[in-house]
Amino acid sequence: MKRLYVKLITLFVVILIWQIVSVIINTDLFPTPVTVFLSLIVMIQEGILLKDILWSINRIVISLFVATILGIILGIITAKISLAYDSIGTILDYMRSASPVALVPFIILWFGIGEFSKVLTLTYLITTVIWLNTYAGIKNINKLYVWAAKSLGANKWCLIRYIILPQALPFVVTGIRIGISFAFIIIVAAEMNGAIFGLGYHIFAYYQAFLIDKMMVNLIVLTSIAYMVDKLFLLITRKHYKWHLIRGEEN
Amino acid sequence: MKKIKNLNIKNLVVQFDDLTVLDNINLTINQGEFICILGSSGCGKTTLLNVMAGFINPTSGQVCYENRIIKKPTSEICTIYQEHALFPWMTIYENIESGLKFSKVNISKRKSIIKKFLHDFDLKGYGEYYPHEISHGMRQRVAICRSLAVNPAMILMDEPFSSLDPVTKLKLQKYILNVWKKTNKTIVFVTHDIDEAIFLSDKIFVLTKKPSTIKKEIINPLQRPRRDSVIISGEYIKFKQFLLKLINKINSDE
Repeated sequence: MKRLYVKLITLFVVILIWQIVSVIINTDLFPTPVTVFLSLIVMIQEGILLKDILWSINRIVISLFVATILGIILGIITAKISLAYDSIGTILDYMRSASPVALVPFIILWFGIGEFSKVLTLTYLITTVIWLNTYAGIKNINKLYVWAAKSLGANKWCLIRYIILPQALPFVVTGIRIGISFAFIIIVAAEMNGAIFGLGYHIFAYYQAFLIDKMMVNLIVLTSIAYMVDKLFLLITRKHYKWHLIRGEEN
Repeated sequence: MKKIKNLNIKNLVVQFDDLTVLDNINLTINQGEFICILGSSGCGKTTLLNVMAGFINPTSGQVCYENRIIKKPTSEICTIYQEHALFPWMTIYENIESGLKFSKVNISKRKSIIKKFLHDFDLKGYGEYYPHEISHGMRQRVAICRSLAVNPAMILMDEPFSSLDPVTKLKLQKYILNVWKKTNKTIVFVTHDIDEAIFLSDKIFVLTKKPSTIKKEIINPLQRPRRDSVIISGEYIKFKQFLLKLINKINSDE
């Protein structure tokens, strides 16, 4: 409870400093929190903000869904077959280092400006993150459990389903969590070059129109959603792999 | 006539790179025997067990079970490890269930089997607990249940009670003797504890230091059933002295 108060007070102090600084500077380039808040209300009333949120989240959810499946499958394949790691794994490892921001223009040139390009940009990034974590998770499993399962008669499929995946799960979950964070960061770049709606898209649209307060609203809303989703995700998943946390504490 | 299943090891050699761990091991284990493999720490006991279980392939020689060469793990031979190898993400119930699931036993049958085991091993009411929530002794009981549930002909045990306190240890030794008596399973029990070997076994194989080979195959002279008080009987002490002498001799051989 005490920690919650500290957090709330921190938030209040930050807003207060922002208010003071922007009043002293007194320029349109740095609107006061009050102005930004009033813009927020207007934008909610106009309905644009809600549409921006829904469109952006829609893109993230689709990408996350595709990337999770792809990342896990690729992770299993590359961890279990060394030929796959040397081939597909090397490509993924190299691609992982490529900046998605720099890839956006290529993707637009090749696949156009539509939804597909945006989802592709996000999916590409999240897949590499989830792949890497799944791979590491599977490589990290305790051999003793695999042996124990084999001596209980587990075949290959049973091993993956009941032994390898549950053990790798905490890693995969971490991968998904990082993937979500990345998605919220890179969505801005993905939407930069045009869309109908989208929080990232409108940051640039407002920038062109010099609507700094609205830019700030979009940025804060995007960041807040990313923050809350991350915390929510942590809360939900923590319950499901309690055993892992406790084992960690024992060590 | 009842068919006797036995495990046969012929001229077994296991090397890891340049290190010879097991050197020319020959032994036969008959169905229903309680075997202890006795040796000091780091002498390759666990390696021998892992070869029997099919996890390690021999460099030369062979391991046969019922005249079939063992190359990979089978559910007829089940291993129980020193460390609690219970799956930590599964409850006690799910742990015991796991082997049954692997061999596709249907759900209602699984239920009744597990219920019986939980009852027989004094684990009633602990089904929904996770391994980290119960004591060491209980965990090893669960591990024994889990192995018995798949009904193997042979159980290999790798110092399963070495991390337990003496009271729990004795209790579990009695459990395993009870199981053995009731089910007529073959048990191969690896230990470095002389008392444990004497209390449990029909026959003891004493291993030398690395590269390990079998120093001696000894029939346990003690009558069954053995009570707690057996450890102060003259016969017991004589046998223990004999084993101690043997092990001291092994240790002093350079």
